[in-house]
Amino acid sequence: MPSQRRGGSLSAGADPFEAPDLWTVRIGGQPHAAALAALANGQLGVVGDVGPDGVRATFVAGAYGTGPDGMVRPLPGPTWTGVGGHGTSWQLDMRAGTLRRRNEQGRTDLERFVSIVRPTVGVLLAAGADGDAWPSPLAAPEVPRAMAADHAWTMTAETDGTFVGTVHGARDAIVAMARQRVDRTQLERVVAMDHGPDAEPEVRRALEEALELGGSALLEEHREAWARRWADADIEIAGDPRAQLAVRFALFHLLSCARTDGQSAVGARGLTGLAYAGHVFWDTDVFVLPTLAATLPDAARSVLEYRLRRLPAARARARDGGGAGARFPWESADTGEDVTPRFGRDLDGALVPITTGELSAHINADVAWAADHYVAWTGDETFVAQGGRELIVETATDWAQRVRVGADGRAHLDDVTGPDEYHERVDDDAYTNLMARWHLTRAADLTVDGDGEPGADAFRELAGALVDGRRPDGHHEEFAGFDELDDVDLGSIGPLPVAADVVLGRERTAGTKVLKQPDVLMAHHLLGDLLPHASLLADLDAELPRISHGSSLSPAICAAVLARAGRADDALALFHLAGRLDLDDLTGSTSAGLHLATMGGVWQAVVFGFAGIRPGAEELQLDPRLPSGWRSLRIQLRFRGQVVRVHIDHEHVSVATAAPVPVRLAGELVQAPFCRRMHEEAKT
Amino acid sequence: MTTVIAAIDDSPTAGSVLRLARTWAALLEAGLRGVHVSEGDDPGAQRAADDVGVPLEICHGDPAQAILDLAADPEVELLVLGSRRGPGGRDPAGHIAVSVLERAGVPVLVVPPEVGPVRPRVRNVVVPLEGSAPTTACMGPLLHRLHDAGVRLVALHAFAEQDVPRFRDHEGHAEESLATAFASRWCPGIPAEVRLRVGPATDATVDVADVEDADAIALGWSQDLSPGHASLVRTALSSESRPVLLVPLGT
Repeated sequence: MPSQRRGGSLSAGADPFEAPDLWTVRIGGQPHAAALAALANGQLGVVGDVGPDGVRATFVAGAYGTGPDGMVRPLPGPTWTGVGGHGTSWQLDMRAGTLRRRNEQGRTDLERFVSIVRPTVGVLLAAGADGDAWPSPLAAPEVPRAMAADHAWTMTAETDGTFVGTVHGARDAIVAMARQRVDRTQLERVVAMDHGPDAEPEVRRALEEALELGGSALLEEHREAWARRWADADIEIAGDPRAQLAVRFALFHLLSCARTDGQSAVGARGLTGLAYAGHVFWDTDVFVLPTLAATLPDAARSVLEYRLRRLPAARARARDGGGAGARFPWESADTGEDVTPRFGRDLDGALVPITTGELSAHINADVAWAADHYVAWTGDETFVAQGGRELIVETATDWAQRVRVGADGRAHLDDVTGPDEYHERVDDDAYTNLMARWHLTRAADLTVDGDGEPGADAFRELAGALVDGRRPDGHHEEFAGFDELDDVDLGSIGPLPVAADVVLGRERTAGTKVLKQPDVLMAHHLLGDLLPHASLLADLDAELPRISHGSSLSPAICAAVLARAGRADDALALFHLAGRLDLDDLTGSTSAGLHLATMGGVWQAVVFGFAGIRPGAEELQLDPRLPSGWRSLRIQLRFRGQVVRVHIDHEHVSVATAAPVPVRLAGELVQAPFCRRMHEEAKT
Repeated sequence: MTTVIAAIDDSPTAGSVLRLARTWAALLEAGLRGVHVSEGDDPGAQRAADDVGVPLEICHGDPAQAILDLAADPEVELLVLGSRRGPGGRDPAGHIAVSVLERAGVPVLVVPPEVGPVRPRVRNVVVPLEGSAPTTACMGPLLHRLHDAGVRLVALHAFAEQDVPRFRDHEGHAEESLATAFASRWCPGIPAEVRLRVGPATDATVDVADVEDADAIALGWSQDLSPGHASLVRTALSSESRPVLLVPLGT
């Protein structure tokens, strides 16, 4: 049947395949093609169906089931992308937010997208030959083995041609409706999908509205919406096309991962794959959220709303821990209960007990940091008033029951695991303690005395008592006893990055100073100027040579920190590593989903790192450190409701805004808009 | 209906070859032919056939060629034969078996001399995969047949030291995540659980076959046992006590 379609073409205009640019990703033949073709809109995700391998999946945000092993995982959605034939190549058009197929005659004969205007709607437009028999618009879900026991699929066809499919699981149900029109050689397929017991009327309404509008208009409004999204978010790097494509790819998926209304459960791989079971980690709060807060604030709000709605579950966890406040779980899915697996398997086949669920206490500070960071970008005081304050204060309250006051009179956090998971069950992890100190201080600022919370003074006292591992030479010790561990030359383990725990073994690695990812440097990255700049340089010297980058979260953050320390050229190799992580499948796991946190890190390396942009108390901070190979860097973002366009080259910095915005440029307060020759007076 | 051919000699393995062939024929819903290429006075083969209760066809001529001629029938889906082990491991299956293996156009189940008692049902098959499209393509149809017949398939990939994934994010999900990615890349549509290991594929195969209680190890190969080729096949043939199912690339 594919051969019947060879003549078809979707449009008579210029073929976009003929002019690929730094807005497009070519897909064809890569082993991880299915994930490179991923499209999402925060509600629906669709991957695959770009080759003969049969890999295809639909994800519905927030819809979870339970696997036979008891693990909570995404409930598989029905597939809707099948048309027959595979074409010879595909292209992800990031500007338009669509995926296109080229047929054997070199014509575009298929285009599909999930609408960012109508989050429950997906559209597929295809061209074939007269008399083509197209498959039905909905098909049974591709059920991964891990979910085999938990789903029941039914589908009916109504008289008007609407197909209604449902996936019933033990925890939830997905309702999908689809209808297609064939006009001689053209196919127009519209699908709507949502989950929950009451989804059907809304899904039907969304389908009818979309059908009324029609495929071309749906495509047009989707393209226009993407154009608006890019106008406030794009980053342009002159002089480094690889970096340019990587940054766009990262931004494209970050801008696709959350809805702009309601709540968004953003898993570690977003809606692009099964890996990490759709669970929500600190990845979302610390790595993904900053980009959204600075470019698509409504989406950031919806990510925070996910946490806010699980505050009652976090309170229950804190109560179970014997105290007041709220304690977010390390891994979270639909209910907000802890869904961290209790065991994993190493590459020797041995079962490994997983302790992060119990010990990664820093998640509370991460969630609070994200909430605070969102407010810093947006100035959204309604969020603070509508639960944001409680979220920050109640999660801070939980630290009180975790600390131990030692014989030294100082407060300690024992038996935790920091971001560096090569060393579990450590005392006074620097990242955890530094973040807890920031968290307690921030909570003190937000505390209204006399409403049952510990009170500002108690928060400040605890913050002041917490040890931070700072040593006389200025560096922070990663955790108590770290400086006495074996010093191993990273080069002897293998070229970086290297999964040191796999090469050396877990036990041996734990006895060395080899780190999986930045720990102290992660605190520097998030807290910025709240930690002394001198300690940044000392910590960079002490920690960076020990980081194996065994975590995909690591390279981008190290690049950002290096840039802040004035070593932008040194940062570039790590930046490229992060940028190419999924494009080149450097982890061997991209097929199981894109690494959203790495993508967030890529954005942060550019904005926090090379541009030195941070939201300040009242002003936007800007302190560029451009790599010598980049001719210029242009960044679009939003600060306190204003669109801000920053242009940086090796001689000038300019900030364009529609209304005055205070900017602290390399420490000096300047009013934007301005164009300034570096080391000269501002020219407004 | 397809056919399974059990080609036996008069060695003590003959009974196991026939029993396994009967089990696999039942699994594939195929007919079973017991065949012996007579080289003179060899009553062991007939005795084994009588013991197991499989009628035996006697042929004459060059044993390897006679077996290959029989297996060339398009109805034949699987060939089962016993291996012999020469001293020093130079000859991993015996010269007749090797000659058949290198030229057969169908999958061959090789039964080693040390094979244990034959189970009434094939439950678990371990499938080492190197991670290449041709291997997956050649193994796919047979693996689907086995899965549909109720066999649990365990695909195994052993990363060489230099190919160990450079990133390993979270101990609780990393293995599953890599396994999901491996399945998606290298065995799409093949209904197998995936196990990952680091180190020599030979060690990993033995380990996983033990852990998974494998009834057989299935390997895709290019039918070349000359030095420097098919080291995993060679090792499996010369040291495994389990049946080894060899699937030629291109079948």
